[in-house]
Amino acid sequence: MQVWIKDFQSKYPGIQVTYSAVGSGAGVNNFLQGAYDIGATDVPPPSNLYQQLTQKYGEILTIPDVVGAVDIIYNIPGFTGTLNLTADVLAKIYLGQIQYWDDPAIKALNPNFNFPHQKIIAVHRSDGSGTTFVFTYWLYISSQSWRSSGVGYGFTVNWPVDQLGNGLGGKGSDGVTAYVKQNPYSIGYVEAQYAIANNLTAAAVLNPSTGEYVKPSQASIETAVQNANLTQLPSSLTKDLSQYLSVFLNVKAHNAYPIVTFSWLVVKVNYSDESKAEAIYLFLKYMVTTGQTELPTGYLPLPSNIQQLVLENLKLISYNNMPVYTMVS
Amino acid sequence: MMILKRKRERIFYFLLIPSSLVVLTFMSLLSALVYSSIPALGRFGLSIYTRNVWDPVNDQYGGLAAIYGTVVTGVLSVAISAPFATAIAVFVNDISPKKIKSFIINLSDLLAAFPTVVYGFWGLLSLGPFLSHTLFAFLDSLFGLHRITNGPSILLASIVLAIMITPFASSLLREVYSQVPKSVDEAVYSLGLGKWELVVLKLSYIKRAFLGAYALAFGRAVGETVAVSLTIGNILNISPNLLDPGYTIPSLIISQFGTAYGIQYNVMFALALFLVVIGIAFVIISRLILRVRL
Repeated sequence: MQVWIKDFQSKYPGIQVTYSAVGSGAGVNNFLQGAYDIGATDVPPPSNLYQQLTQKYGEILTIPDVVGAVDIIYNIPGFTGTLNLTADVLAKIYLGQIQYWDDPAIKALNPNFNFPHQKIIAVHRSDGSGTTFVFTYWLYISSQSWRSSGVGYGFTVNWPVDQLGNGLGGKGSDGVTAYVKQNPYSIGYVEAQYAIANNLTAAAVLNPSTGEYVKPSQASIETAVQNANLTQLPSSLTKDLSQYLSVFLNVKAHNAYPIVTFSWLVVKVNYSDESKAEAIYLFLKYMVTTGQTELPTGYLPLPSNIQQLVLENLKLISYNNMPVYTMVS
Repeated sequence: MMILKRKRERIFYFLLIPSSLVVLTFMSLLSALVYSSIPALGRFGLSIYTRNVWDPVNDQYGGLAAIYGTVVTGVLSVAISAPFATAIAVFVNDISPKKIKSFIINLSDLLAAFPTVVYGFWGLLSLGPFLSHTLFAFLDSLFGLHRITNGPSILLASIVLAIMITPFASSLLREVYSQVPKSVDEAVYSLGLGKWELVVLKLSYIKRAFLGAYALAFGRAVGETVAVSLTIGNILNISPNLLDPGYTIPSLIISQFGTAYGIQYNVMFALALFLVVIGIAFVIISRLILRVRL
């Protein structure tokens, strides 16, 4: 985001953009309070928040801006090769139902390694996080055990494993990474670009739609995004997109990583301030076009079909109900 | 109040301002805490303090694990720190040569000025793994406490806190200790008594100052956010095993504040309010202990 703002302001010196890094919940909440013009979040606003937003602002746009994925990282001394995991095994680890590495369910997925009888330390985020939201939502749609546990999904959930004393909560992706690196026999989940930038080994996760174990990589994430069934998405991004989180999860395609998602921006459609409407249109257009070519390592550009969808929707941004895209070049 | 007659002494009336600001700040902080806590207390009642659940998905909150962790780490850190801080105060005043004295004092003051995040990362990356293989492994073998982490635990957080508050407490203690009148030294030696008796006698002089120093140090310990958050493990676990991870109220607040909205926001204020209660309880209990011992 910082890179984009710097680059954008060098192209449009008249427009001032400031960014504050707060959690997903706070980002959209501050947007609702009117403190921000653009709210950034890892998941589309939940339905009740969407209702509040449209009541206050009329139409809003929820725009995907960056591709993301959730990686499963682990620390098992002596283990080489790739750890295979399924949603159900991960669910049971975080539910505290699988407590040891030599559990038959883990052995069955990884028959070539002789796991020691060591307790699994399940590391999760201690702060509210979109990564937790995506991870728990993926567990929710992929694992019967998780669904029936009643834990649900959200920015923060009540981790059953904590009550057994086998959990650890790290603040931010760096906190989770530090705990996993420091504690042998631990497992955790972080944003993909974080794992790539820090050179962390990630587990191969079963994609239930294909039956393949897939490691997260530039290629496997791209495959998932490109093969996602976009016909499920509404053509208008002004709608409530909260239930479309699953569009990019468990995509049915050869070598598609199962836990893939987008981060999103939320903006008003109609403005009473002409220069603000134009500035927001220009900034968002920059982000989904030029901005996508200037991404730091580990980030993937939006696929062209999504880019087209966003560009079409940006044309809705208006000043007193007159679209501004015709007024700016 | 004393009447100040001379004109130039009237200026002392202005000294009232900083003192009243103390009262004003306390009242305004407390009322802000109470005001923002009311919605949470109204909805959940005292179960905010008696239940152990943190579930924003179903909007259920209870900070018992964090309260437990706060009290345990606070008391433990004071208990660990007190002998060290006292020993330092005695050593620099009555035992050490002058050169070593100023060296230790300067170093100790420098340690008190380190940002707490430095202590936190040092605790997580260096001290934690070291203790895990030494002290914690020893406790494990002695009492059969099962440790699963390579450091992060209630005990690690308490030790890091103890190390953080010791320079601060010892600087207060050594000043007071050095203020004990020289006539005491002379009297002790004239009676033919030795250094041991002298130190014991002088320590009895500074009992009250000791209490004051540790009331402040305890406040620092239970209010610490970053250093604890990095070393305690941040999970809602109430375990008598000090080698298990846990949570404290400030580390819960620093973790969750960024994404809190709705009633969760109010619950955090209600928990912060409880920190005030813990602080007051500590001062009262330590006064009672002092009264019994005197």
